Amino acid sequence: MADAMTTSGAAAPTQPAKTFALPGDPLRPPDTFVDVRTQELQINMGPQHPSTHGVLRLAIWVDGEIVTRADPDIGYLHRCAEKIGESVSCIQYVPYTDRYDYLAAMNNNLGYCLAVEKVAEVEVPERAQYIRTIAVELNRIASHLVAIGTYGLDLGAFTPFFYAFREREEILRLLEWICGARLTYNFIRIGGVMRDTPAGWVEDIRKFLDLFETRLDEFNDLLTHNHIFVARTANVGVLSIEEAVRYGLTGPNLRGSGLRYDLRREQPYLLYDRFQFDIPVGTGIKGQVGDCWDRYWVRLLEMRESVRIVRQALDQLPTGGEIMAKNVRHLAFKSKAGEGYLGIENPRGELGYYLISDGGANSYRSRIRAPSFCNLSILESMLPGTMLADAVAIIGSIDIVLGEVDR
Amino acid sequence: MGLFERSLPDVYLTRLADLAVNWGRSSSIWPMTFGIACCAIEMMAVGAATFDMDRFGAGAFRATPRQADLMIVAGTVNAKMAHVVKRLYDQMPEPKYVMAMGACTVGGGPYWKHGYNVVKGIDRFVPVDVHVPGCPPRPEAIIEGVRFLQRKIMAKRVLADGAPQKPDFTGISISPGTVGILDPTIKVTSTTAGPAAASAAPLAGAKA
Amino acid sequence: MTVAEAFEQLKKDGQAAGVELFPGPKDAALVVTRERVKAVLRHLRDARPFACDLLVLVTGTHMTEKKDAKGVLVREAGFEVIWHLRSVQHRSILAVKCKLPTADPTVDSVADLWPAANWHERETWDLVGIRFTGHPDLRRILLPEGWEGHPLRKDYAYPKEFHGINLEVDAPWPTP
Repeated sequence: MADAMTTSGAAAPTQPAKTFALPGDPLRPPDTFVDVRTQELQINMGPQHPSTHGVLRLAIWVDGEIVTRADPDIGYLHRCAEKIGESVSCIQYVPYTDRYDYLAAMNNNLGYCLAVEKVAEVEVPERAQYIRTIAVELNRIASHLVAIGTYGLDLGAFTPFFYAFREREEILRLLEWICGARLTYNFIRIGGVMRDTPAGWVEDIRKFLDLFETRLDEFNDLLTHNHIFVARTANVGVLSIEEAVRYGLTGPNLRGSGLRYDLRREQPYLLYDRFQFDIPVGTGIKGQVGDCWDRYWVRLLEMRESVRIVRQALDQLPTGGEIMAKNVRHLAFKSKAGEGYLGIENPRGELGYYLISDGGANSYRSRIRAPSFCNLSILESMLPGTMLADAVAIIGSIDIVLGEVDR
Repeated sequence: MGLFERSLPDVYLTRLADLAVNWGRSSSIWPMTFGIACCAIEMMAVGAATFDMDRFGAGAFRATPRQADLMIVAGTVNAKMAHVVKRLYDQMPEPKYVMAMGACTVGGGPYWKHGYNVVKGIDRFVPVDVHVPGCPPRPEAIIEGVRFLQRKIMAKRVLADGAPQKPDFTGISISPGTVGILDPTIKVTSTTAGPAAASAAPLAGAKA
Repeated sequence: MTVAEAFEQLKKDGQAAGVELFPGPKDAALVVTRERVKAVLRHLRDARPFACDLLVLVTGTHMTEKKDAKGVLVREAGFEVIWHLRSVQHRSILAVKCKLPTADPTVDSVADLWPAANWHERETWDLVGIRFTGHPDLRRILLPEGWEGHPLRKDYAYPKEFHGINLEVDAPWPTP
């Protein structure tokens, strides 16, 4: 019956049946329009949801298809990072840093080691710094590959996922070769790196880079200019520079909005001032500047820049030389008293460690500035006003890692 | 199998039926897409091209617990998450299996001592069929765990009543003890009984 | 802009009341009294020479008293809150510090100046137990509601169970 389509279920049966009419239907007089009342509905997304990249719970209030309010609920992966940071020694804490941003574990190692080295005043040999750069940039490519692959997955494109993981396995093979682990490396140590490059490693990286550059173009066919992908991402989730800065966004999310801000250039750590590379920013090719497509595009371009950096680092890699600082005695490592903050450019933004040391083996306080944590907080302001189906596209474009959000 | 669950006499015919049912169940284990932490990335790698868990009939990842047979708990479970894991387990239809993947789910892993919030082993609140150690386990280890699970399923009684059978783990390529099953009555037989060792034996003899 | 330059600039702007320079052993910081901290942070954000538009991090630390071998006090008991601010325009980073007494760890919220502070302050309340007055929605963020205590305090005792979930380290293994 037509009655069933109306929402006014309490209508008396004696009244003539009202039919549902679209507004502006010329065949019906206006008084037969049915008052379709909508009410706010709360939807729970997660913590078990394939598109939340882990265990994010998102409480979304919708009015029809429009999101009116969003409240991210995090903490389902809280692993006591900062308590452990002050309960174990600095040396012991390095493997824990792997597990926070597990897609870019090498970068996390680096951030922590640089912070400890800053407080403890450790000089790192040049060769170790080059090996660090190579490892970190390879890891950045691997991380962006997962981001792009799973972003396609979120939007219903299954194939890019397989392509991305095919290249990623190659990088994992290279990283496993040098440190023995696929995901949690613990390769960059305080004062240097774990071990020197194995024979044939450098040549294999060159081979891989040559292959990878051609394979990067496949993503342009698979995703970048794919009509469905563009329709789902262009002009969706537009983020202005001011809004991004106010919410403390960094990394590709900030650069996707058009601000050329990269800590590798702003405050060069490691040896980044010796390399030529561009900082890609979103320019609004398919839609407005700062939409989801721009953030995706920045990640894709950054992989190309990482390839450039790795090439230059391989060229400049000195033959021979120390890989570990001399004054670091790992069994009895004690930091100097002091406090310091150091931020590096993680694939997801500024990863910072703020350490307070009182001269003991443990840090007195180890605070982590997790980029995903800050990036995620913008969902509260970004989601209201968008369509419900776009929520997944926006979450995917922010590219969070829940291990880092919750720590 | 519902009404007939272990109600028929243990005769050749019912055993044959059991075998058929178990073969079907063990060759189409549908895992739930349920990644928690780092291990989830390796779980995704297992589903991707290089390792391809579909070869073992366990590649159809389901997004809802109501369509899944296997819950791979991939990552650290903390006090906030434990209730969710328990509820997801309750939502799965029988027969259901649980794989504890990674050191955190096996016994707390690196968060064992100072993780005030971390549950030290998910077997404190859900029954676990296979423990896969590693931090995170390699994709091969997950495949290994699935194969262990398949052998366990093959030993189940479905229609026929009788004493429980012991699973047969011969020929599984990893050395005993690497993939642990917390039941001390089950012995993982040595790989020497497997075909690989059998082919290696004459070679050793020839050398001698 | 270094912290020392920032301190000089604050003096020039007439905002240096209640501000001291902490030379650090490593990173320097501006130490501001509790009453003045919000005004100083607002000035750092709005004044053109600083233009600290990016709030990087809010840290809360529980400090316990520590004396060295000679009995000299090297660390006072209390709480410390540190704001790390970046200026995108000037490529600089500043640290502002505020010391709070143990009995009353309360400080003004800056969530209205930087929305980024919202979650940082919630986290600091959750883990360290520092109250931010004027925060729009100060509740736990990482730990579940109903959790007792603030884990990053130095005297925190690990819980044995939470809502029926056993969290003990040495619980007996389940019997097969």
